[in-house]
Amino acid sequence: MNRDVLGLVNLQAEQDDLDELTYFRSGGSVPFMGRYRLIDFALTNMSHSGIKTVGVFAGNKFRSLLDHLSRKEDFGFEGRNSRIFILPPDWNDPSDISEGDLRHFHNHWDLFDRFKGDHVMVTGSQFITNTNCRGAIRYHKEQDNDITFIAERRPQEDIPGAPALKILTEGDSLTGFNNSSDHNHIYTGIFIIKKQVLLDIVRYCIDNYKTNLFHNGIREQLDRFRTGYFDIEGSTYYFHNVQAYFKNSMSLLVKERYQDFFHGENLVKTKISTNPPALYKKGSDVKSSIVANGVVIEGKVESSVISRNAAIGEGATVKNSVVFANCSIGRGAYLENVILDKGVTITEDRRLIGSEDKPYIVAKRSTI
Amino acid sequence: MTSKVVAMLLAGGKGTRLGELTKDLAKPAVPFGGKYRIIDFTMSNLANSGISTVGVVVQYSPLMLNKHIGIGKPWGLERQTGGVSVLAPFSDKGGGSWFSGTADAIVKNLKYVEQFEPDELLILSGDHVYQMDYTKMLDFHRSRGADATISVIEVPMEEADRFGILNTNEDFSIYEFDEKPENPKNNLASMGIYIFRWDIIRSYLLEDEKDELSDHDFGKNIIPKMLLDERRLFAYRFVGYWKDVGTVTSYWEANMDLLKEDFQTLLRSNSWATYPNEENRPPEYIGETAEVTNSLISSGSFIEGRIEDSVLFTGVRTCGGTEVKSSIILPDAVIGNNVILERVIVTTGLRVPAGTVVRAAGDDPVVLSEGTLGDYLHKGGGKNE
Repeated sequence: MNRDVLGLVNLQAEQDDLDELTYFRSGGSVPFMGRYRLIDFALTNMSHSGIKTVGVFAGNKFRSLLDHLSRKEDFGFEGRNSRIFILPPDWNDPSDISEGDLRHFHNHWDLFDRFKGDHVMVTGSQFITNTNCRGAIRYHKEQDNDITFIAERRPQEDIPGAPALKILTEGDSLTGFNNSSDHNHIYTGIFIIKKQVLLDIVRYCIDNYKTNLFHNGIREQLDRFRTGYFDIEGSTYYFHNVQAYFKNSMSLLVKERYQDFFHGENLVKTKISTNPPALYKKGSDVKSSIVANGVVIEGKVESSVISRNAAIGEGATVKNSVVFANCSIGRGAYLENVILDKGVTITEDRRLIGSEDKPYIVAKRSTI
Repeated sequence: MTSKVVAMLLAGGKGTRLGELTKDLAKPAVPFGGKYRIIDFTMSNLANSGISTVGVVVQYSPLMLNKHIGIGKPWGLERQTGGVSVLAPFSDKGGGSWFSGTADAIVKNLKYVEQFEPDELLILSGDHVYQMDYTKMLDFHRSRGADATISVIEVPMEEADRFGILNTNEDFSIYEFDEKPENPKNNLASMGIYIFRWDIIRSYLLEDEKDELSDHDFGKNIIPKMLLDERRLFAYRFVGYWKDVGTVTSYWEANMDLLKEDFQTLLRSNSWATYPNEENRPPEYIGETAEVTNSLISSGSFIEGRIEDSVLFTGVRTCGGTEVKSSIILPDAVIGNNVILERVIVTTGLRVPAGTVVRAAGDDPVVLSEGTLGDYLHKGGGKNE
């Protein structure tokens, strides 16, 4: 058990840079693989790491997040002492001079104050993995580090570009970060920190008009702390732009990867919603795709993600595409390298073709 | 609602005629329609009708059923007052015994019902697949000033001798109850759904309990007695899909009905949802070699091979070269390479080895289970082939 570790999903520190997909929702609320949202993976990681209390710093676009996280049990946070606190922007302190994500830390300080444990694990939502952080937390405690950064080593040909940070190390400790595209020791965006150290950093940042907890309070002040890093091993994905989002979706459509990622020991949990099993009508032709509940397919689907309650009409073709929930694709339509946001209607015989590097994105609830 | 209704859902059925499907499972808990259990239809009807005080009376093999029902959360029926209670046979100072009949199951739980001081008692069974708004039946019951109302459905005349038939006057008042009549006078069959005025049924139940010759059954004893006393009994006519999934064949047929255009609202209605006790499983993966046509596939599955006119439950795996036709594959079953199944029901978690061929030859589908699998192996085919 890691009851003494508070989980913190800091969505405020992230850019909402998934283009149309984040116009009206935060990065953490972006749907992924048929029924999940990106934040599910961070929460699942925490739950499988034995963390019982989680705070979520929500940015401005928090409506979909409140709805999604309304039942903590669905995410594996079961029992009286298990909680998810969703903390939207709420600033009422007249003496408050904090800026940037420090405003969240300042105004929601009660979260840390009331938590009895000594450690905080801070994550974002733009990195997902199918492993958990138990090993990292154990290492952090054993080493008595102030801050332990969670990293991974990737093969040289598979290094995520900026803004994914890379770490520089010397022995067991960390000496710096950079954005170099040929350095393969990648920072996952997760760190474990002593609560008291976090408190001191927040004070320092606010008192000195700093705006970013990680960059101003930690990255620029590394030599003030006893730091360490822990390399995790598992499948990992980064979501810094729409291209990465699309590429990750296609990558997970390979059967072995999908099985390894979603059917491993750290089962990903999400909001439970009720829809009937998918119906594959006469004449449907589905290959190498994942299909969520409530879907009705009459057409052809190849290498695509079909989310809840989508309907694909007779003679329609969906290829290398990601279809969000409640979309309706008319008869004879042809989609290739396309992302349809929720509730999009594609009219009969419409053809939409994007490219692998630049998928064609259709914004939420539009009709084309 | 000013008037109080308590529902008693009789979920104790042994389901003997379902054979292997009810080996360790009460009939209402038998998986159905890809991700549901049979009782989900009745539970969802209650939820959609806004009736939230429900006693679920269990008896045979209740382990799975108890966990499934819990406090009614999947149907949104968990309440601070009322709510869902699972009622198991229990012992008191006088000792304990199983329920000897449907009426006995209520008498033994009299204290449960009485605590709510209801105006009406709604009796349901957990064995049927249907979608019904009980409030409409309740309105009918009240508007007729009835002592008891029995829900009926029109069945084909040639099948009427298999049911309890109600003979009614023009105003739908009941004058006669024929249990499985040789020469049925009409085709209005009882669906086993009753609404009683509580104050009246209470005394009938207590009186019946004292009668040692009685089977303590609503259809056989209580209703005939009320008719004899010239009580106000009415038949409420239900129009819609209704199926008793009492036999392997009717179970298979009801699952196949879910694939038909006419019955899509059984699972896909916008106004009358059917709620399962949902599991948190990933969306199904349809593989490179898959050919799926006219079938239901559920979460957590990995599908290869040809799947035609079939219902596949959660967590099923089918391998390449396999052909599944007109079959039902229950949760977490694994079908190996080059297996051929036709009109087969594969039981939960069964591993069907590569190369197995089973085709149902007779009228009834084959139930493939741990116990029967051996009959079909090492023979290059099934005994039914």
